[in-house]
Amino acid sequence: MAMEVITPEGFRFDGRRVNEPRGIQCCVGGCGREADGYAVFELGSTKAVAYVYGPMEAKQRSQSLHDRATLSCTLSTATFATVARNFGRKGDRQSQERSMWLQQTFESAILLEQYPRSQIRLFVQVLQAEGSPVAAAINAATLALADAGIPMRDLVVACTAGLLGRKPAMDLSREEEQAGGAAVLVASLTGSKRVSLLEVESKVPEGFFAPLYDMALQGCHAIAEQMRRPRNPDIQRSLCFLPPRTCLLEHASEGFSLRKSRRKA
Amino acid sequence: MDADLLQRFNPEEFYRHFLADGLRPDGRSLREPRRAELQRKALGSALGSASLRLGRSSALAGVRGELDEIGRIEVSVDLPPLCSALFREKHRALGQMSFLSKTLTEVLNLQSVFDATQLVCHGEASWVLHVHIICLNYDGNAFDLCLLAAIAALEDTDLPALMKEPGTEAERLAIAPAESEIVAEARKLVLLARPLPVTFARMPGGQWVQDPCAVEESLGASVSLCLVDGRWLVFHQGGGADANRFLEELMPVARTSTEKLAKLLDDP
Repeated sequence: MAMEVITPEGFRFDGRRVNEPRGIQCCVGGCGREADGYAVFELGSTKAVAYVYGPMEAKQRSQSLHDRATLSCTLSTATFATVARNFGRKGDRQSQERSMWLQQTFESAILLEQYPRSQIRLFVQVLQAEGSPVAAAINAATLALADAGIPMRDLVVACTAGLLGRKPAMDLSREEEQAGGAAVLVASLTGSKRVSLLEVESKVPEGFFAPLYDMALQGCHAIAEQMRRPRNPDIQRSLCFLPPRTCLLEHASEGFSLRKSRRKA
Repeated sequence: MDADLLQRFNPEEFYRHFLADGLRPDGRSLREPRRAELQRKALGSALGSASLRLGRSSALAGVRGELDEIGRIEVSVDLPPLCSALFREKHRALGQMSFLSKTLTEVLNLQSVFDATQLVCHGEASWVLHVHIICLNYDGNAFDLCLLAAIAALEDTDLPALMKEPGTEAERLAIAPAESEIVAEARKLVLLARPLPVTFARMPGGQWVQDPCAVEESLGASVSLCLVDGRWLVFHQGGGADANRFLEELMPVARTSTEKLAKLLDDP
């Protein structure tokens, strides 16, 4: 089916130009979280939430290495995230493979040798998949790792790029992904401009790989720049699933003063 | 002994000190629920969705529909390992997950709560609503959290208009784009009565505390009361069968609490 994907003026279906990523919202940390690191990342309407537990002692001997930490990653997609009918299917091939991508990406980015004989557990849940879910998952994971205070070589940022007609475009939305053009996913250590993950799941026509790759890399930098900017607290409040800081602080301080008075008595 | 150490190694003793004064370590009194916050339309991709916070517990519910012969609601609750260190091994959450999924499905399908005839679309076909609930941060009282999130998500649900799919021999229905021949109108889902839950946990000293957090839940059995259309349903968790003796005492407290919950759900 031939479809006009880019208007003659150079706009895409959702009004972006080819070199514009979707809007980014993120929320790092939160009050009362169970995990050591927590972050929510929104790329357009694609939404992912990441949790980091650790570094901690490995439960099983087989999971610990004497010279560095082990990293275990789990990426899961909520059943209501996509249009596809996937009720009750856990640990399917796709999630397993995507978990492996995450693992490979972060094994090269985290300074694992800083924590011998320990384990870091990373969980990412995609809550809404409206194009480039894995890129959003990687970005959420980076922020959660930073929140947990785990040293990394650099912020890892991911972005997709794909061919719309014959033009490369960055950060594909769901409609653009489904159009079936060639697409690549790149995760890069943005400061050093090194690439830690490159996934190509479809056939790329000859001569188009280099422009696609450059476009994705450019996208990584555009997203990283936005991630480093200070964030609007109001947006964070509406985005984060955890309680707002103020109400709980009151609560906590109340409990604390009680405990103090108790101790004196 | 240091208070933090005591809390960690002997939570029962730690709690006893507080409960003697009629207080809990987080500053609440015995019959005080945590602050609840509801956000409707939390997701765009589901028919209906809501996210709910209850203190530090947080859950996200999404409703998806498919067509089948018998219209009904099916609830599935997920307590993934990411929501708490308690569920680090998956099997620890399995019991609670299946209890919650089964109980919530039963409660929401009660005739006094939900009229399944509103799901009928065209001829034989009927909507089946799958309510998926993911717990995003677990700090006790999953029953209240999940039930309230499910209700809010269902009340947020819009059933889309349907049309006959063109070019198929058998009668197939599909979601209708604008300006097509509609066989089933778009409509909003209606609940006849809201089941309103209140949970209590039994402390080592014999007191009952309302809306228990994860530590309080681990100290003793808990009982969930659920007000459905003027009648109470009682669910025991963790072997609290002798709770029946205390129901007389707990019900008036629960009743005032349900009024507050109704207000939370009414609030736009």
